Amino acid sequence: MLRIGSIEPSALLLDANDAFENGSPSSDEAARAITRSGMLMDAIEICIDAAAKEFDVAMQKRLLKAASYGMHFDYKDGNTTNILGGKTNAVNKSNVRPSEVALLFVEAAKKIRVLNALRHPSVGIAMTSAQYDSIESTGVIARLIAMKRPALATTLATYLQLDEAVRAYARASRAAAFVATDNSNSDSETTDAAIRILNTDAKNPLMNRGGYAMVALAANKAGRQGVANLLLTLESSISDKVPGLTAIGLYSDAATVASHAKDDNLIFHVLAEFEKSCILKNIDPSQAQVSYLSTVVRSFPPEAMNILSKYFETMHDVKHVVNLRNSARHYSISGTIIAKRALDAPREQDRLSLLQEASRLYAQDKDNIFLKACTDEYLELILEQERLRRAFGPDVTTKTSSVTDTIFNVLCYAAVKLRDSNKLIAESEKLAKKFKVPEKRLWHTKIRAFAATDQWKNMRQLAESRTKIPISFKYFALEAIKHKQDVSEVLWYIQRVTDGEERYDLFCEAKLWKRALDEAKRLEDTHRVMHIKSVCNSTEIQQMCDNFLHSYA
Amino acid sequence: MTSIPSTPHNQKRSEGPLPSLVSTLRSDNRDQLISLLTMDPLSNTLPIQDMNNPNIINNTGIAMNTDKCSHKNRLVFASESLRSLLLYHTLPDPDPATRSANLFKPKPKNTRKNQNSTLTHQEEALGLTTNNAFGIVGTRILLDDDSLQDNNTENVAPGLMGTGNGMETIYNPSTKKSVFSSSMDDPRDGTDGASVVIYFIHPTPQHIQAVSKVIHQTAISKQQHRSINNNNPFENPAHSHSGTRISKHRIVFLPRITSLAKRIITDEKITKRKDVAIHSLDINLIPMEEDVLTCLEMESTMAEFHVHNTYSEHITNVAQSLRKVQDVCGTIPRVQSYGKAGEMVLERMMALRLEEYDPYNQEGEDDGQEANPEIKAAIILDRMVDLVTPLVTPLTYEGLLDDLVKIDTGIIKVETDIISPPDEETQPSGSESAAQKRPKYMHLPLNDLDTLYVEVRDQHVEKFGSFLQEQAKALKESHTNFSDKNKDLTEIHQFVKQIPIFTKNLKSLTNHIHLAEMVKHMTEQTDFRQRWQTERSILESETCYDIIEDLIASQYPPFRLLRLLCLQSLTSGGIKASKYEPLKREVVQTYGYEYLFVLQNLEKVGLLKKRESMWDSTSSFTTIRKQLALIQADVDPSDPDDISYVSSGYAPISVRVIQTAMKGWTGKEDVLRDLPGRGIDIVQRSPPEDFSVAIKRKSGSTLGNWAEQVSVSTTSGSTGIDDKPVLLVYFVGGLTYAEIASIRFLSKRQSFPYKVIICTTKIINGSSFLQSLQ
Repeated sequence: MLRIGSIEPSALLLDANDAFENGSPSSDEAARAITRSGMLMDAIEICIDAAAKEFDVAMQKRLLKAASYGMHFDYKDGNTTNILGGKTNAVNKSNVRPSEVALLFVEAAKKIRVLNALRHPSVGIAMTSAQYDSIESTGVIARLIAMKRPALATTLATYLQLDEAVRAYARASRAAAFVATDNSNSDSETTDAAIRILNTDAKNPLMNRGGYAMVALAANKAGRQGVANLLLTLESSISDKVPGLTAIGLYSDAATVASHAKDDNLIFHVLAEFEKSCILKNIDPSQAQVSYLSTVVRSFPPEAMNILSKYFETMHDVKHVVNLRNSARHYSISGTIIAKRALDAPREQDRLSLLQEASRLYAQDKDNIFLKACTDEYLELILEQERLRRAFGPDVTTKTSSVTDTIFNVLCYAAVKLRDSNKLIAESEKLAKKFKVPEKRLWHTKIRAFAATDQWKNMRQLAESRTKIPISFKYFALEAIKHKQDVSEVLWYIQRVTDGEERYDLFCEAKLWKRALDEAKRLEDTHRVMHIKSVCNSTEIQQMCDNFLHSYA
Repeated sequence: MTSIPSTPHNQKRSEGPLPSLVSTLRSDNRDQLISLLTMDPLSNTLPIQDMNNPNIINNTGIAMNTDKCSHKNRLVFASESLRSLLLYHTLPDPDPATRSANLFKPKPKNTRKNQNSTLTHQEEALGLTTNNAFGIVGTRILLDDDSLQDNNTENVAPGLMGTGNGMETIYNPSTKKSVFSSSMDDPRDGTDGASVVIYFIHPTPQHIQAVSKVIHQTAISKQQHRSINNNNPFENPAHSHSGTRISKHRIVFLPRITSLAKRIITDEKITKRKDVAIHSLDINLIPMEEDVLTCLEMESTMAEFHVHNTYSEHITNVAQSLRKVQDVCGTIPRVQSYGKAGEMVLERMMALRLEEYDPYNQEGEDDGQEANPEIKAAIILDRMVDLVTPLVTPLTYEGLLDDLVKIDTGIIKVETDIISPPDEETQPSGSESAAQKRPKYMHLPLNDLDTLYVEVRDQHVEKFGSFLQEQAKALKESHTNFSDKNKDLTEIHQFVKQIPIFTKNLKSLTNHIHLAEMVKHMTEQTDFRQRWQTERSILESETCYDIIEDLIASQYPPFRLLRLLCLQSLTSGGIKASKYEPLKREVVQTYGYEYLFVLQNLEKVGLLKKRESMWDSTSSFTTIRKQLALIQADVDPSDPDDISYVSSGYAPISVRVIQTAMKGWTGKEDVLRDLPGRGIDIVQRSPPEDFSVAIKRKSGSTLGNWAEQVSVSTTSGSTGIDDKPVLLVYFVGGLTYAEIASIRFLSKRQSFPYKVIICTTKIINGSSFLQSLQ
């Protein structure tokens, strides 16, 4: 159209506009001629298009003006006053009906402005209109940010009313660039300024999630840790905040945030990062380890330490976890870890030394007296079992960790080694005394052992050994019933039970229904009688029950 | 016209409170599992599900191409629970009709099949078949769940427990879970032709280390074959004859791989190996029933929280599972939480929602589901709120089966002789070999596919016996009715059609009659009755130190004893100072040094403590008991009007808390103060908010009123039970069958404003609860 002597409608429109600019009266006529030809719209569109493709600003203006001029003739409804305002007014909101071509015009004008801004020598992106169309406005913003022109990017993004996400990102980049270069102000001033940049036209506080962390990272890179710190306190997205805090070296804060957010992966991430930094800072690896552990214990949240402890526990070498727990003065935990390893240790020797170590750890804290006492007792038990094995042979007791079981085993062995029977029973007494086993439990153990190994004579002896025995005869009777002893043997014990209801229960247990019925009668308990009737399975007894129930009623 | 009487269990099974959620989760879980199983052996990453590729899966969750998986998979599961969760509860076709049909499918009796089959009885019980579509040639269990079953020792003379092999016979809490299961040494290893081994584990150090050991061992044994040096005890001779080559080990983490797990894997030096691939399956909630969903039966939750004080991992898992529920059903508008862990889950859940939320793209969030979420309210309960209930013996059929025999992931393992007494099948010839063929134990699934079980499961011990009797009578009647009279053809036709249902019901009925007999027998023993009486006395704030001492002295099964001891401590504000250490000493001296650490952990959780003040007569439990009316001694177990029927007069605190939440806490502030943690009540809005913001707002109405509000806004005027809005209750740290029964009881009642769907981290009972704390 710009060819010399072109008679394209657009060229004619351009000429008409030129004439109009020069105040020539022929302009209107020329324009109307185009309108009459019905090619006005084409002419305008071509002018707009040409303007967009034009590099020369003056020429752009000239072409746009021509288009604008042409558009006057497009409006036939006489509403000219609105249109006369100029090209931007064409989309003025008061214009109810922006025509398609008007929108096209505005778009092109915007695009030209953006392109011109990009082509400015200080930016230097010489981009054609077609290129712009293919990478789209978002792409332009991304390039600008990549080129470290975030301020321009922000302005453009806002100007073009791009997607909120793009604008937020552009703002964040701008703020990042700002904090990175701003050296004159104090930390708080810089932070405030950065926040202002971030919040310009952000409608929803959620939109800046992650933004603060990004700016903070930039600030940190620029050596402005104070700024970074202040910014991170505002960050609400944990998954951005924690790496941010980690990057600026505030490991314990990062761990606290992660722990509060209950994100196990982040907690572990912080621990790993902190370990790396400790190793970097200290040349001596053991020194690094020490400072790592002590800081974790001192200033990390408890959960971080517990996770680290969980990790250390997977290691073959128990040293790490014990060191960690000890430096936190968690002796009950470190002691228990050692003690549990002792229980897993296949060799007796290892077990003993580990238990001694556990006992030593428990002793560090007076709250662990009970733990220590039990550990020491177990150590003694192992030695006692050794002694017994030497004296009576290897089968005298198993390697149980239970005092009661040891006594039980010794008593059972009395049935095997009849020759040593009395000695073994004496040994059981000795063990009970040594480990302060209450009499009640000792007696229970004795009757169970005697019953299990058919030492009924010893059992009877035990029952007769004192006038007042520490446990009820009930238990003797129950053992006798369970091991299907003679009725006479069972009865001997039941008759010594003082409580009537217990006697009744025992008779039932022994299926001695007649005696049970007698007992129930004595108790005058119809429920018990009915119970006997329902379970005894004997017509004779049932008859007796009925008789009683009858007479009682 | 004779037909099978319409006893309840012949009716079509009732739908759960929220069938859409359950079926979506089922098919999603299944899709994930199948795409892992059918993955190309050489590939290291899961393919992104391609809807256009018919070879993978279409979106209804059914494998389009029924061609078999081209390679053979050997599956290794960390525990038996995980195996049944994935094989029984996840892998089968989610269509309930086919599932229930398979449940009582008569097993072929001929032995010929057994010879060809590479699968064990147990695997078949889980629904696995030979030549299945997923190339599964066998399963292994990685680690033995060597927790001592108290029940087993009850049959043995108590004193004999410590004899024998010494320490090994006693449950050793310190070495728990570090023992390789014997199934890892399976003779099928050499012959099954598997080329891919898939390990399903949780991200715990024990599991990872065990898997890495297995993988390294396999490599070593391979080398040893070449050098014909075959004296590795781990090695099975069958290996040497086989040409099987394991081309890929897949380590699959459920529900996700954690950073800690990644680090340990790296330390174990298996990440660099070309034949090892690492995956994580995003399966967290697995529906076990229409109304009960479990977050992978993670048993270590309470131990992680209170023994190791590492909350984050499990809190995150639970929060993610709740996010998943809300992805399916829409954001739950109203959420309450009780206890510290409940609050943490709620906070994490809201943070996750905030993290996922895209403020620039709000259209997606605000679709129809948001406007009308399927779940109207949720209550997240920390197990700490109610430590008492798990320790109390339940008296419902299901509760007793679990307490006495143990139900693991909806499957009960009982001796075959109990279900089908040997005299029924003894054949004169070769009875010995027949006995060998019969597995000692059999596995019975117990869930809502068994319509009779649905009826009987939550009935009280006094009722289910007669109930089963009636059912038997009814079945018999229908049978005799038919054979008595002359029938015309249509009637015969009608009857024949019903035969499959009839046999199914008969089979189920016989099973349950046998089980009920066993339960009845056990509950009639003196031991059981004494235990129940002691529990009741303790619950009424009596002290039973003498009984406890006697029980220790007579070597009562340790965890049964600890249950009573902890119950005593919880209900009376701690154990009397003068009795505290002596009792602990009794326990350690009797059950062994290992129990020192069991006690230590019980103390950490707070199940066991020394009473601080001398005059602490009004413990917080007493307040709770009175205010929440926990003891209702006069409840009629056969026709209950209160949840306390589940243990003959004690109502679980946890469920009372749920009930009270409906009416609001006004007037019961004392209880709220005495419960650990605080009660939180939150309205979830859109756009999502931070927990700290949301908590400041008063939610106003009670959950009961809320139910009315939401139901008025959606369906007006309808008052049927099916129209009640849905409440989700999440038990963090496990729940018991007694609690499930109580909640079901409420859910069915008109007076309770919601129908309830239950989620939990694990179904527990007193013993498994205490054991899980190690």
